[in-house]
Amino acid sequence: MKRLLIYISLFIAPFLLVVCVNELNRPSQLNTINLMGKKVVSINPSRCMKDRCTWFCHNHGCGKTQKPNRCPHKKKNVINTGFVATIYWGILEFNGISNGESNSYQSQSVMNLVILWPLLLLGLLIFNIELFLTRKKKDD
Amino acid sequence: MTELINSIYIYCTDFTITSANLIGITYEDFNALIFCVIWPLLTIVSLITLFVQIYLRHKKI
Repeated sequence: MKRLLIYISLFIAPFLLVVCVNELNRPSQLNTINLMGKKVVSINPSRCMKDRCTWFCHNHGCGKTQKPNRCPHKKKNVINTGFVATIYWGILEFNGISNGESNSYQSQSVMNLVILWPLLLLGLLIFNIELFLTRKKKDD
Repeated sequence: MTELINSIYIYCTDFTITSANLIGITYEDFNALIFCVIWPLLTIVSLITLFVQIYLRHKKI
């Protein structure tokens, strides 16, 4: 029973972190963004801002690049370059970003990055812990 | 259902944007750090540990 509670806590912890970060940084006046022709409420604004990332970075990209439609930040992409950028755009393509206006990108992203991959990691972690405990019991 | 998925997507994207701003890196960098570095590394390490444990278990038997 105690172990089950630990596994449930491990499952909930990342989602709790997401809620904490969002709710602690929620502005008094909420913003609205345009998602597939619909206006929806968001925490971050949709316009480009020089000192911070916004939904503009999500929609058009960001970082110090030469592309004209990107948000011209002072910040520069450090990690998302070269090989990592290839994987990054590969994941986005896999989730269906090239489908444009369709809803599949959002649903694929939620399915793959919020449900399936975290579940896989949790499963691996639980399997590892269980195997370790079984081995330890046998050794004793 | 679509509304629910979109709400989850917006909430999670807001988390990545906010976290990127808190850490002081770009949104793209934060995404790349989580989805291209940390998660794949954790998955690979977990898989290797699992295979090593299975190997050790069978070796003893």
